[in-house]
Amino acid sequence: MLFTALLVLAATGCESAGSPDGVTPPEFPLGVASGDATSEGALLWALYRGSASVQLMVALEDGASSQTIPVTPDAEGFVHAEVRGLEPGRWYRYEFVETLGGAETARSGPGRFRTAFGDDTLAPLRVGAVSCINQRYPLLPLRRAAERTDLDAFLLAGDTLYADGAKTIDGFRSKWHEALGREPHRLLRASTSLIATWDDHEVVDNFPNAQSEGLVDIARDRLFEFMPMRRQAQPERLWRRLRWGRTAEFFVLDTRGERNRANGEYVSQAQLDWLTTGLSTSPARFKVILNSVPISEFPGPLFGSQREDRWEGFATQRAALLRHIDDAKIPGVLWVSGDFHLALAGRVSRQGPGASAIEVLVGPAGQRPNTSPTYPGKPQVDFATGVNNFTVIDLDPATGAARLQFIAGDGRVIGDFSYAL
Amino acid sequence: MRSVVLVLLLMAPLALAQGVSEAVDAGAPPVPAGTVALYASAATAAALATAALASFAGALLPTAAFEARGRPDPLALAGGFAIAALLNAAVLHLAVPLLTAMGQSGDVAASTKAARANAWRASRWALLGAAVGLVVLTAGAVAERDQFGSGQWPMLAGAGTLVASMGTFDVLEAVYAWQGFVAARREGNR
Repeated sequence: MLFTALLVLAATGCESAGSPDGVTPPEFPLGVASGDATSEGALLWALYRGSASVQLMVALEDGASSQTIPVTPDAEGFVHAEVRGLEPGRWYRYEFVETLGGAETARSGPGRFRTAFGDDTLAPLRVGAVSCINQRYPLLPLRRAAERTDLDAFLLAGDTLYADGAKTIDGFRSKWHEALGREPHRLLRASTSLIATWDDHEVVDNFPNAQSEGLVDIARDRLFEFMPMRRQAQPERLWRRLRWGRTAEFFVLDTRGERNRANGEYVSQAQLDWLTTGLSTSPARFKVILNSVPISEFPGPLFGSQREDRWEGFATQRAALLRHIDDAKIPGVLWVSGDFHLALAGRVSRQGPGASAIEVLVGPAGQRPNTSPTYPGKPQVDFATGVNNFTVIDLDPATGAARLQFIAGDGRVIGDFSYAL
Repeated sequence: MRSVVLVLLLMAPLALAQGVSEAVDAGAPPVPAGTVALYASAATAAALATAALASFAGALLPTAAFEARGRPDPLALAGGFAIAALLNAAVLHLAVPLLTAMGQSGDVAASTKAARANAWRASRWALLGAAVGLVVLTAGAVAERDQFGSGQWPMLAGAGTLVASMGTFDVLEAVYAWQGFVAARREGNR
């Protein structure tokens, strides 16, 4: 036993933990963020520590026009400011400003985002993506991603923090503070707008399970507190869609919070119906499904122990969804997932429904590599790596090609693949 | 629970060695129980230390393969297991018989050579089991390299057989080295 354990430990290696770094104004300790961009605006976020007035300044990046909006932090200091009336497909800069007696007393530091394309726009789109960001690890891929100025949006496929062990509201907030207090997080969140979902570690490992009972609502509320995510009519609903013209539509799934094992539901029937209908009716050339846990099949026992924790463990829903996409011949579907501590590009299934569908696993951005002694490979999977990285996804509606580049923390391109969707 | 397992792990070689002493040592003054316990503890410690050393050495190859490719290589893993098993067997077969020397006393002759020979007669069968495990593991690794998912069961079965066989090797080496030593000790006293 010892023999094996030591062999595995030594083989997988261990990364050292990083320490909090960087300096931000104490009035805005976690910087700024933007998310869920539409063609006319975005949700802008900050955490304010103070009792003065706060204003939000938004301007076109080329300085052509600007507006100042008074905002009101909630009782905990969170600001979720919905900005509307902007021009589609344009880059904007924004900053939160504290004023006291009409005088400026503090600034949050700037952020930037791009509004989504106008409804009929057909133009190339470039987004970044990661998952698995353990706040105790070095986060070099986030830093590299934040240096980019060409990412129109950034996808977070879940495990954006590791809140495991938190039991109370304050406990979860403390974990979020620990995570977003890391400079790479703050830099990335300020660099472009986010499109995020959650996975298990926003609550507890492999949620839903016995350990997550009583924690899910608390964790979901904290997710909405700390992320620039637009709350739906039903506050508990995370799934939503965001369209970038006729180029791409992002379908953000919640594959954790609505599971019902007794009914064989990996996602609620309402969510599944919404997804299948949305895929069928979307006018966008690409349909990007932000999925958190992979839908791909992983044959063999080494990945089999967690089968019940992913789509494969809910075979009826999985087959129905993939068959719907195949039968309706819906073009441009790209699955984006995370969770596995490895990056991957390949086909969803070896044969049958999903055999021509493409899935990309993004991340890990701050984690130990998946410890399996073998990773998926040919013929189903074209690329897999355990190196910490982030993914750049280029969507070209003119050719229907999706290009996937995997970029390590040192800036090296470690994988570059294109698929005709 | 873990501490119970640990105690059992440490006590088992002692009980076995004591039993061997009583069963074999018919012609010489009995070996003091304290000496038997000391030997059993030393042999157990040697086995654990050797396993740790072998595991570390064996992990170097798969780690290097991972660093080079950014992903694990099943064949490198099989190679790592082979290195670890060979190192474990060689070091333990060299070291454990030497530990029997602590049972020597002034008026009784004994032989670590006889201890090693007797240990080998028993432990080689465990090595054969390890070799079979390694072959199955390697075959699985080759299949897995060719097609993901096709060699995982053989890899698991092979690795399990190899690890179990090496554990058995450790126990047989310690017990039968002591048996050889005690038997030689009796011969030397005639």
